[in-house]
Amino acid sequence: MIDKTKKWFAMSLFNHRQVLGFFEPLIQVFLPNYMANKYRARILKLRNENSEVYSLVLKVNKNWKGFKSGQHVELVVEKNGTKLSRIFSISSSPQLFKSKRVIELSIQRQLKGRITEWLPSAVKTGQYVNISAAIGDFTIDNSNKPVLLIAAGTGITPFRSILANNANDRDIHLLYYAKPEKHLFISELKSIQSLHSNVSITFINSTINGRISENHLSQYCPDFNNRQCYICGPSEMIQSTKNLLLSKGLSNQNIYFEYFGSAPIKDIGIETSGTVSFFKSSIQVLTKNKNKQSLLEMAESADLKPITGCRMGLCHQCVCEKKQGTVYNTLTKTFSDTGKEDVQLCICVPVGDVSINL
Amino acid sequence: MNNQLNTEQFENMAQELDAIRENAHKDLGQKDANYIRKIIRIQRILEITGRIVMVLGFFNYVYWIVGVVALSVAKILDNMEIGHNVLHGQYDWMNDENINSRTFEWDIACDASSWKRVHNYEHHTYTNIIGKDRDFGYGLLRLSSDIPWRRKNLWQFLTYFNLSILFEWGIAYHEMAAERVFIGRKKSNRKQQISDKQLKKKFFGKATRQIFKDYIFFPLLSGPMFIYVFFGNLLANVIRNLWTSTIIFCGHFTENVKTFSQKECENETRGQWYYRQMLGSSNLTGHKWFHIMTGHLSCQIEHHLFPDIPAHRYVDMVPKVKAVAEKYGIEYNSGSFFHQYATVLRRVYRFSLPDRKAVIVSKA
Ligand SMILES: Cc1cc2nc3c(=O)[nH]c(=O)nc-3n(C[C@H](O)[C@H](O)[C@H](O)COP(=O)(O)OP(=O)(O)OC[C@H]3O[C@@H](n4cnc5c(N)ncnc54)[C@H](O)[C@@H]3O)c2cc1C
Ligand code: FES
Ligand SMILES: [Zn+2]
Repeated sequence: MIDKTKKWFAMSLFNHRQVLGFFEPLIQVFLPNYMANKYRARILKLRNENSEVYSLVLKVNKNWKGFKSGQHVELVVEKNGTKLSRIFSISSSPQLFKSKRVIELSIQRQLKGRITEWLPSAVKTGQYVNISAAIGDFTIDNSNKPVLLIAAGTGITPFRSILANNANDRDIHLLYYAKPEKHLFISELKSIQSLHSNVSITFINSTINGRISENHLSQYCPDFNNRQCYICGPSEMIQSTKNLLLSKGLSNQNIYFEYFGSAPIKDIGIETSGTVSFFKSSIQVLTKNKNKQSLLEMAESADLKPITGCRMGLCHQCVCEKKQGTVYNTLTKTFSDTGKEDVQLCICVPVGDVSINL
Repeated sequence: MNNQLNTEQFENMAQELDAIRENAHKDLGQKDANYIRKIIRIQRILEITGRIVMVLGFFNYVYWIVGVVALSVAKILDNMEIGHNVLHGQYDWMNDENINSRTFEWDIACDASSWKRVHNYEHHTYTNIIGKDRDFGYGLLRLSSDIPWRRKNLWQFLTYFNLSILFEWGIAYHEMAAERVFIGRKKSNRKQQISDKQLKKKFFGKATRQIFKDYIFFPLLSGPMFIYVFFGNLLANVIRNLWTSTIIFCGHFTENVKTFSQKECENETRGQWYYRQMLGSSNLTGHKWFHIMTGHLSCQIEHHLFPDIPAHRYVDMVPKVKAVAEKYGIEYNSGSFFHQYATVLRRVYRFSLPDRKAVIVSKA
């Protein structure tokens, strides 16, 4: 009610949903990169972890509310006039935030990625970027149940924070898979291990030892069955790890995971053959009935470059006008209307013929 | 079908215009983002100053006048260089929550989403096609001999004057008039996009907010200056209405602007669409600030060819478009404000009278 009234007044007096949205360009004169609905953060340092990964050390503004280990933020940067947002887990500890208002994001350079490759060369220390409030529920509860963390590659980032936060009072076992020489934060992790008898960490070379298997589990963490399991990494790794744990008798409610990319679109059992017409560019793409692709993937396969962000239905940046046709939203698991409306390209698959205003 | 040129010529012309568009599009970036943010800043400063200085009219009426002028200019910038262009999606690529066609709302009675449907879609697609482009005369004025003469056209000069003064309400009501929400029978050839109920809700919602702001909230806020602020705001709105209406009329209703029949435009190619846009629009020449105050609708031809390219780039595109027009022998209608406006008035007057046999209106 109060929110509604506030919004009504903001719309009436300022034609903006938020009063500060109206003043935003003025405030930016005094506070560079100010955004009414995001928080400002100053880049303190950009630290290379290895040739592919760097950490962005950020001093966040006073009004940022803090986070729980395991959560992530949306990082918003302006690239050649375009605001682009990307999601990164906070890899530093809540203690560091509490004492210094500093958080760290550890970022893997993505081949052909628009932001992760570009960012280190484009930003300077002292410059401001924007972040969202912390979001996500990939966090550890307050019980004293032992946990098993399984990380692959950059998937270590939320666990770095969790370890720093919970090493004192929790029985934690970390299985950390990475290619040779690509393990991150090795000395830091090792020192946590040596200081805390309740923490054990196994670094696994995935090129030599392969991906996670029954053997690995029984060899490195025989009591995995009694633990709450947290998995973070690429989507195939999450799928296979999850299936493995389920087959070994763990229940679904003890398995938590965080996808770092889009979840593979599952077989949703609907007829999807037809044509997707990208209206503005007059390009038509036939939908395959087998490997179902999201509208975004189809657009990109046709060399179109719609604005994207999270590619998993979080940020609504890829919202585009569908002129007609039905799409299936893999996130909400609903079918759309047949008429004109906005759809999220990244999580919608076409059902029959669809026309997109792109 | 339009056939001043042959198919191949149309095709070549389309390619040349596409190339002009592509060049501008490739170059979009920080410059454009900075530009529009700068204009928004100027708009904000003018609006805030205007509203405050108006109240100082308590001490001296000169303040009141300065305040009204500042607020008028603020409203004009908001509607023209910012609103109209942002709503065209010219800055959508910035992905900025506040400078975005999906969310933008402006300081005018017309609801932004209604504007997008009627202006962005109908007017820009069916420009000057009699019977399809409702902006051609706004269903009130007879501006071409393609429209049968009726007695009410005799006093259309007065209608035009009233429309200009009340312009924001005219365009706010535009879509409801088209959909026959209150009066008239539904037209069978219109695909209504949202229901009458939603249309009414949007219309009254926006109208209430605008009236509350300018005629209740700010006057009350200024206490003893209530009447001054009330009339100051009213005057600012009217000045904006006159300006926007005048500029828009200069863009499409100058004397030599052509109209088209629905038949001519069936199965139009892209080249023919470009051709119609050029002949259906007219430009105004002037100083940089004049262009900005018109929201670069002074480059109406370029706007109609490239509606989603940031408008401040049109000025640079003018010579290139002109060269294409010349090459293909297409009229490029451009002139000074006073000259063009005189021809608008002439047009409004001429078509208020029934056609005499002698007047043969050239048709494209
Ligand atoms: C909850 C969550 C937490 C995350 N935490 C972290 C973290 O802590 N650290 C980390 O490094 N990452 C993390 N990620 C992943 C991170 O968000 C992405 O790696 C990042 O957004 C990539 O941004 P980019 O601009 O570099 O790549 P994008 O430009 O977004 O591209 C992403 C991928 O798509 C491919 N692609 C892009 N455009 C095209 C095209 N036109 N055609 C074909 N392929 C294309 C690219 O090659 C690239 O591999 C997290 C993701 C999520 C959802
Ligand atoms: S890209 Fe974030 S919702 Fe689709
Ligand atoms: Zn327009």
